[in-house]
Amino acid sequence: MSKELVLRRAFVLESTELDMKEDRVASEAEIIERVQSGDKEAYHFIVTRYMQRAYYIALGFVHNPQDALDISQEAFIKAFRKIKKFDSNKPFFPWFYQLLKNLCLDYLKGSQRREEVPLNGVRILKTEKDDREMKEVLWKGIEDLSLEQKEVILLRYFQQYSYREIADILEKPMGTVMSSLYNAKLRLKKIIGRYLGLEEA
Amino acid sequence: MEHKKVKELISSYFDGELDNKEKELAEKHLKECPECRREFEGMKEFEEVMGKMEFKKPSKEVWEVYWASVYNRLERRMGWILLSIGAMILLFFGGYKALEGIIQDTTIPIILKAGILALLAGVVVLLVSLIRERFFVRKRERYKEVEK
Repeated sequence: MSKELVLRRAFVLESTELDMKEDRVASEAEIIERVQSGDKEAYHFIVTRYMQRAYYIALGFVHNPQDALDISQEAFIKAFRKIKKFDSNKPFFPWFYQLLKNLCLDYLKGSQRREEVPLNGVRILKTEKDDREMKEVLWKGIEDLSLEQKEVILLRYFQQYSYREIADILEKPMGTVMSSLYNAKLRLKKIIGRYLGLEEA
Repeated sequence: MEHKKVKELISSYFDGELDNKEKELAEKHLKECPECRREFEGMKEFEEVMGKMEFKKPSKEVWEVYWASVYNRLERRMGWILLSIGAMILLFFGGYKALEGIIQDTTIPIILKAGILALLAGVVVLLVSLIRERFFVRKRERYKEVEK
């Protein structure tokens, strides 16, 4: 697995689209600086680059595709309004992640809607027979994790990030990520084990 | 090697996060230790189940119109802000003019003048209160970002 910072990976931009004289690699910092000077087109690149991550992260928190879409877009709007305060030398995503997470947590705190949303609209197990019960047991288990553990599980299993990437997004040491993930796995493993054990009996 | 350490290595192994040296260490221990082997099998089963979980993908169109939607919302919000500022200026100006006319008009009884003044004062207080509330909400949001 690449140890490179995926978040800092440079963008290759089309010269025509950003009015540049020749094709060249523009760093995220350069693009952010353009956004900071009010260039909405430059923001297009940022949004397009991170929209899918943003959507799935929101979905992991709020469970509802429509609201996840709405909240992720709201987070991009909020980020644009606050972009001047952002230090363009830092990677954009960890900063954005905090904004997004807070919007999701506000949403969860502010409403009971979550409980009305059926699980089957949101996620599936990739098995031939969609094991509904297992899905619900597992998802309930993920729900019951602490926020820190839930974050690492969502980033690891639903977005396939490496430890390094998760550590960058959460701005935590890699060792912390590793042990939260390990503890979260132990808890979920126990839950699955219990479920499978019951089924055999 | 202690078991807990090996168990963590097993977890990292399935995450694809072990280097060759760590892999060797873990494999060597697994050969010798039935307890950790059971842990390995259990973890394997767990990873299989977890690996099957994924989010339902939204339709392609969602991504195609995503930026347009963000852009429109940004623009619309700017529009609302301008509209609100404009409306407020007009309201204050209109209120001031009306007040001026009423006070100078000697044919209107004093009681009516007092009533109209109180009414306008009420509107102003409510407006200020609304503005303050909005400002307060924003401030609170800012605090939320600080805490991590």
